[in-house]
Amino acid sequence: MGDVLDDVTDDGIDARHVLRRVDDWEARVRDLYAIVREWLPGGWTARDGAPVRMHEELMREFGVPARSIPTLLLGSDAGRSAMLEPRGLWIIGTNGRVDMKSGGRHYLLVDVSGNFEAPQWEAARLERRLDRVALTENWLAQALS
Amino acid sequence: MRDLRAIVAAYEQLDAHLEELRGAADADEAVRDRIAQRQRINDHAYFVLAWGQFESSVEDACREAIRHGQAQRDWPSSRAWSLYDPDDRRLSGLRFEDRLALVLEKGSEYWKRAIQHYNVRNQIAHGAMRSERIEVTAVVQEFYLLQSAFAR
Repeated sequence: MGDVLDDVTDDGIDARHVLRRVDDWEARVRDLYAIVREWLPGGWTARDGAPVRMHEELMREFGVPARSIPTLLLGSDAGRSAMLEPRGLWIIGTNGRVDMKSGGRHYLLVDVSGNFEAPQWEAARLERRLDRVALTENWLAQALS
Repeated sequence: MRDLRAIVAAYEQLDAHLEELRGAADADEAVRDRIAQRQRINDHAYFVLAWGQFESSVEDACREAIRHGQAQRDWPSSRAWSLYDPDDRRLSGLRFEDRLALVLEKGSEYWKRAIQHYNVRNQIAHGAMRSERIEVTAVVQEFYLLQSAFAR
């Protein structure tokens, strides 16, 4: 199964593995957005934002083409807004990170699962990363309040 | 690992500052790339600092394990431990892998994880910057987990 630390220290990985990881990351990000849409508090709506380009070092090393990964824009009837932006898959210590900015606050959403396991998203304020909690509907409501 | 929390606090503060700069750069790709590179360097620097704390805790646990082993009353239990000097600054020349094996079972998942981090640390400390970012706070949490598994 492994994780990012295995990926970046294992000489045995190949292009197929890297491509599978990118496919899996895109799917996990899309699934995360689906969950966020489902959990949005009343008065909030979501729409696709401009995608970000993903072409991390392992992709370049193994000739895996760049990929466009979507962002998600959130808006409320009261004029508030938030944005979710994928920041990277191969980050040692996580299985991918998506940043969420809402009302001047910056949150990190990190997947703490192993490679190809069901995602386990956790969230923390950028400047208080040790205080990481499970991403839940309640957490989202508070972050958007 | 007494300074680890202070290291994490400094890391978080600096990375948050760099994130602010990144946010202010808006759509200027060149500036954002430059800030991203600084964040990566910052990650690596703090990772190496945090590793030093972990390595020091391995040494402390190792010395404790040696003293404990040497204190065994029966010679069959203490003889192997007598080969090492717990008061020697270099721990009788033991390599890090071997020091680690005195406190975590060699080949176990925990031992392998520590060795993987050690390999990353060696690459960075010997001048080969890695391309990946490191979520230092998450790695530090893993260091605490590994430390809690030390046999003393």
